[in-house]
Amino acid sequence: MTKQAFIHELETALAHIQKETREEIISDISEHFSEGATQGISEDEICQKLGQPSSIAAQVLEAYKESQYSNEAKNYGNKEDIDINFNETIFHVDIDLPVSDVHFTPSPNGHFRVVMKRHHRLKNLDVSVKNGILGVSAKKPFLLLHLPTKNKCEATIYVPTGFAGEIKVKLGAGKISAHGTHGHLNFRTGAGNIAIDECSHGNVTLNTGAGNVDLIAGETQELKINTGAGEIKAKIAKVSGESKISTGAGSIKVTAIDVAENMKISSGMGEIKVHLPRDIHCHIATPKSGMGSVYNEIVGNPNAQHVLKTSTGMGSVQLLAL
Amino acid sequence: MSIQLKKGTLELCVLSLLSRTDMYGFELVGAISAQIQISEGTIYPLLKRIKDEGYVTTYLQESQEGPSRKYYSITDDGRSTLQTLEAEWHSMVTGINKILGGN
Repeated sequence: MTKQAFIHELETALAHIQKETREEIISDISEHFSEGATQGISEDEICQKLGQPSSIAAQVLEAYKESQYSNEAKNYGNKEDIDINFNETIFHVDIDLPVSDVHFTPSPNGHFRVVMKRHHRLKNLDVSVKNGILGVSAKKPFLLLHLPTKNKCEATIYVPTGFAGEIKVKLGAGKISAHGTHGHLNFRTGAGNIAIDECSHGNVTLNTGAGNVDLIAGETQELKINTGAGEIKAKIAKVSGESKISTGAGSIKVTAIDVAENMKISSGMGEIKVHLPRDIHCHIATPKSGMGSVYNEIVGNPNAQHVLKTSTGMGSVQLLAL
Repeated sequence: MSIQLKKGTLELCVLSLLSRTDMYGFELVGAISAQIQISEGTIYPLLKRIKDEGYVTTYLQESQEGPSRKYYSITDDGRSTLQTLEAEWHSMVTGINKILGGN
């Protein structure tokens, strides 16, 4: 094998690790070839003595993982906490944890960063970047039943402001919050509140088994909000995709400046209050309440293709002009 | 030698060699492979790791034969790790010898 082929194979095998680490190993191996050459050793012989590029890569990957974790221990002097920076290009975030609070916030340096506290309560925690996907997952909770609220695992994910991919979160239980993120959001928790502010430009799906949902957004595309039981408050500048906002039991308050597709707002039980511009460009279906008063001061556009529907099993429905 | 056994012992060898003098990669690899049969390439990930862990530092120095060389220098942290590893090594070797000898 030639030096060029060896280096190329090694580079390929190391494609997904931190650039700085990859370049350092490649430069070390290149230096090794140059030194060998000055001693008159053939490239082929040097290759044979070095071993397989893949086994060097495997070792780097292992060492790289280890050093990631020892860095985190160094930064905090506390092995329970994780703090990892990612220089890799990331298109998608996938978080799947049995129990944890998760918070997203803009990254000041343009890189993703994952900070986790008290993650020892999770089993087999795995934080990785593979094929552009940043994954954080764990198997079973550690003594879930005895988990004191003040000691819950917490994850903070720093998201570069230019990120426009999807952020997907699936929690057995726990709060989810996001501030200032762009792109698509798909949040699901078994039980816990979801709070989002200053988000824009994407499909937004928020689902909680039981808990309140608060959303403040610029423009969203498809919007789906569902809670088994809890209040929903949503303030959106423009909804350009289809939207569905529902709660099994609880009040709903929606403010929108522009609705460009069908919107359906429903509660099994609870009052609904919708604030819209009086002349909004959509057809306003007559609000429905199984048991309660109905009040509508929005004219809308009866000829518009898309419809805004509101209904509750029990409670008042009010459509108010902004 | 099995891979698992080699892993820890290679770190011990590298730190031990560097405790005597600063060395560059090729030189270090040569000194080890002269005594133990290894895939030489495995030394570089090891060097990178112990550098990240703060056991060694590196500096570049011009060489007469060709391009500049990256030299490795052991730190105080590295020296104390070396002491621990060396003690572990001796106690393990003593133990294994006793077992092999049937005592």
